[in-house]
Amino acid sequence: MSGGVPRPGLAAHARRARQTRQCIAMALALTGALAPPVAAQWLTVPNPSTPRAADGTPNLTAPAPRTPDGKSDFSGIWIRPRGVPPGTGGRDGIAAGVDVLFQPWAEALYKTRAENNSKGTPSERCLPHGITKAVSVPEPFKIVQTPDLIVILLEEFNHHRQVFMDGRPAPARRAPTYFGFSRGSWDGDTLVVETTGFRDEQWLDFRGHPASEALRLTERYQRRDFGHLEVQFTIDDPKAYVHPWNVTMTFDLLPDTELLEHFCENERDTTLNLLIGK
Amino acid sequence: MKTLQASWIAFAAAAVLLAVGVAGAQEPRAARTPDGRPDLSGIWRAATSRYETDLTGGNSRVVLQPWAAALYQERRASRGKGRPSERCLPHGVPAMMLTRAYPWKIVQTPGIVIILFHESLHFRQIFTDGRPFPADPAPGWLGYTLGRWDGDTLVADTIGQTEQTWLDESGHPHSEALRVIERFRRRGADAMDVEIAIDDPKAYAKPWTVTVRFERVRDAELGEDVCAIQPAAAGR
Repeated sequence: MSGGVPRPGLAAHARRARQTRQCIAMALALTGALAPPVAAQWLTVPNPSTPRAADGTPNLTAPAPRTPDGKSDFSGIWIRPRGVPPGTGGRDGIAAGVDVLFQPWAEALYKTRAENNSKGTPSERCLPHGITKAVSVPEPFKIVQTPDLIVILLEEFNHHRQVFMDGRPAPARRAPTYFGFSRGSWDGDTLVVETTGFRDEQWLDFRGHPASEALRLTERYQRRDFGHLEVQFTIDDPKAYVHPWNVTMTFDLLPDTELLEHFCENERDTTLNLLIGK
Repeated sequence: MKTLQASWIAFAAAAVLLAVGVAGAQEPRAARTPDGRPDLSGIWRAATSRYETDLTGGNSRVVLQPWAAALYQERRASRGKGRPSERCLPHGVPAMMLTRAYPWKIVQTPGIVIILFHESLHFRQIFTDGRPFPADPAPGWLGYTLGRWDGDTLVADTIGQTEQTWLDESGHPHSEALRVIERFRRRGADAMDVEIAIDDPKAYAKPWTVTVRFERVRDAELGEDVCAIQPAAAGR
């Protein structure tokens, strides 16, 4: 995330246009029918499977959809609800309201990062955010669910994650990565994702909560209804924290739209520019 | 004071291919999806590096418009200095498909065919849900791709790419008028041909086509390749 700095580059126009997305959808709905499917930037892409009220507006409290084999279907474009501070850059980052017990080195590092306004965060250089940080940005992400694989497409930086649903074990030898290796399973209607294999020196959020290569991240996805998703993250990293801690994030569905293109475009597009006043 | 230049740092973060090594995890895929289409899913890579270097494959019948020919010569003379990937920018379509060292993965669903890239963790979406192109396609790095089936061939049609990308490593240029049509067709279990048609009257006197062979990569999974830019130094 660029910290709200206006972005020159290809994404800027599209991003401002997205801010009128909901107004467009509302106006279209009020006409009693969706307009013919031509729209700039694919801001409005009517989806025939969206449940609708009588006036055509998406029914966000309709029951959560299911796949043909009866599983809860998480497919859709999801975004942090309005009013949530972008980037969870508030004083406590993603740990707002959560009791976090740091190991001493981790606490010192966290304080340094916070005091320096998150200077040095990998995304300054267009490197990936990592799992929790990536979904804390204002930009949406798309989940595409198939029986053997769930794909998460992150609008910011045009990055992807894969969650393997076919029961394969984590590879024995694998170089550590920003997004780790994710395996998913079902606990009733809850999707449980376990990820290991992270690079060292992770940033869990923009505030700078550290994590080490020992991190085992568990995500529990529950789709409350058509329009609402809740994900509980469990951060289990004994090198950085004395005990595991949980964070819950909620997401709203963005119906009838599409991801915008957003590649990280050189140093103008990164938080560092904000810091040095470019 | 030094002038700043963004320089590209490659992070070879992960092995390109991860051995999966679990019996049963790589069972042969059914030839067709439940909706009756050939299943293109899987991990693929270009069978040679030839087209990554020169998309024309050395075809002398490809005629550049004068400005494009001059620009191409410049890029060749400087050996590709200034190419967008130096700044971690994407290659665009079709170049991003052609890097033999970096496989990609097709995830085929009824409404979208997604391509996941090892390189830079990027992705493409080929929309097969019947939507039209946007009325006002502001140029992007990958543009807008619509797909449809023509018998057993997936036809992917891309418009709206910025002229900043290069068609290949040697620097074949294109304009914003570029339209790329990729025709994906399986050739047996482990091979796929993609016929790539380049239609850009502003840059090329007439459309031209090249067919690139891809081979399936078995018993492996995509790694994570990341690209880092050099942060701007203080005091610019």
